[in-house]
Amino acid sequence: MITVDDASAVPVFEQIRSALSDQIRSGELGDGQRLPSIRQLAGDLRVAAGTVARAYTELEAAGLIESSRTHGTRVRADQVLDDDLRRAAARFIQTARRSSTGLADAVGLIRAEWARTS
Amino acid sequence: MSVVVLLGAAIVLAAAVGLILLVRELASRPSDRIDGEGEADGLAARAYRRARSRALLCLGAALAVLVGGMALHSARPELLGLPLALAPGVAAATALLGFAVLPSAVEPSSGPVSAALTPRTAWSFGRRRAFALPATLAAASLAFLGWAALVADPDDQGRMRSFSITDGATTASSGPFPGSFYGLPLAVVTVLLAGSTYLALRRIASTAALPVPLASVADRHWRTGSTRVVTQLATTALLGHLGGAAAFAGLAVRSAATTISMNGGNASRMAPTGTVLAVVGGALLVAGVGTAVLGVGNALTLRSASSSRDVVSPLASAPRP
Repeated sequence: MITVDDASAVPVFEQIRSALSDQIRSGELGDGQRLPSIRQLAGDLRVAAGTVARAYTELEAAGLIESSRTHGTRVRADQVLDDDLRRAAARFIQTARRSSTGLADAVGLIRAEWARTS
Repeated sequence: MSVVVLLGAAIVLAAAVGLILLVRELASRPSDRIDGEGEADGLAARAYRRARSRALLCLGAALAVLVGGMALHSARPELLGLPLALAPGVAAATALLGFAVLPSAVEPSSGPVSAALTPRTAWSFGRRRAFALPATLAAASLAFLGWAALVADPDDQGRMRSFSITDGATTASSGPFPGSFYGLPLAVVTVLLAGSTYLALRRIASTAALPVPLASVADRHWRTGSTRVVTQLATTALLGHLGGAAAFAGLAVRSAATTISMNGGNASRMAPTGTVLAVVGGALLVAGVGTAVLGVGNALTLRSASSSRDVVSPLASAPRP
C-alpha cells in the first residue's frame, strides 16, 4: 500500500519514490516482486501518469527496480538493507519512542550524527 | 364515466407499482443504509451501484440484440435461420464491447489517496476455471464448426448447409446442418466474442481503485462480481453457439440416417451418432439458459455486500479469485 497527499509540501513524485524505496529497502517489497503499471498506479492515486513515470525512472536509476516490456516493472534482487542495520534501526526507534521523540526529531538526530561522524 | 374510472384506476395502480419499486430500490441502495458512516462506506456504496448499473445495462443490451436477432429471423426467412444462429454471440459481444467502452467514473478524493502495489490484470478477479470454461467452449465451438464444415454438403442452391449419407446407389440429404454457410459467420462471431470478453475483463481490472484503504474489500468485491457476470455472459453465448450447432447437426445426421434406412440402405452407426449429438446439443442449450439465469442473478445481487462491515472492513473475507 502507498499513500500520497496532494496537500503535502513534498512533491507527489517524491512521495511515491520515497515510499517505494522505503518498502524495497525494508524488504516489504521482495526481490522480483512485480509493481503495478504506471497507468494503474497513476489512476489509483489520482495523479498524472508522468508523475508515476518520473518516480519509476528515478527508482530505476537508483538501481532499485528494473523495467522491461515483457516482464513489466519489478523489484531488483538484493536491494534489502543489511539485517544488522534494520535491527539497529528497530532498536533506535524503540528508544526514541520510549523518550517520546517524534519521527522528524529522530531523523534529524540521525542526520546530525551522520554529519558529525563523516 | 367508466372510461374515467378505469383511467383513474390505471393511474393509481401505476403509481402504486412505481411507489413499491421506488421503496424497493431505496431499501436496496447501500448508500441509504450506511449513509454517514464514513467516506469508505459512501465510496463502496457508489462502486457497487455503478457495477450493478453497468452489469444490468450490459445484460439489457444483450437481451435487446437477442430479441432483434429473433425478429430479423422472423422477418427474413430467406436468411435460413442465420440471424437466429448468430444472435446469442452477437448479443453478448455487443454487450461486452459496450461494457468495455463505457467510461468508468473515478471517485475524487479530498484527502490523502492510497493505492495497493499489486498489479491488476484481466485474470485477477476470477477463479481459473471461470476463464477456462468459456475458453474451452470457444475452442470446442471452432473445432466442431471446422469438423462440420468438412463433412457438410451443398444444398440445392450450393450453400454448404446440408448433410448427406450415401450407401451404394442411395443418397439421403438433410439440413439445416452447420456447414460453412452457418459455420463461417459463427466462427467469426466466436472470435469477436473472445476479444470483447477480454476487453471487458481488462476494463474491470483497469478501473481506478477506490482511494481509501478501508474500501479495499469493497473494491475487490465489485470487480470479482463484475468479472463473474462478464464470464457468465460469454459462457451463455458460447453454450448457445455450440449447443445449437450440435443439436442441428445431430438432427440432420439422424434424419439422413433414418431416410437411408427407410430406403433399404445401411446407416446403422450414423443414427445413434446423430441422436447423441442432438442430446448433447440440447443439454448444452439448457446449460446456457441456466448460466444466463445465474448471470442475471449475479448482476442483480451486485448491489451490495451483506452488511456495512463486509463493505468496508479489510478484515472481512473478500471473495477469492
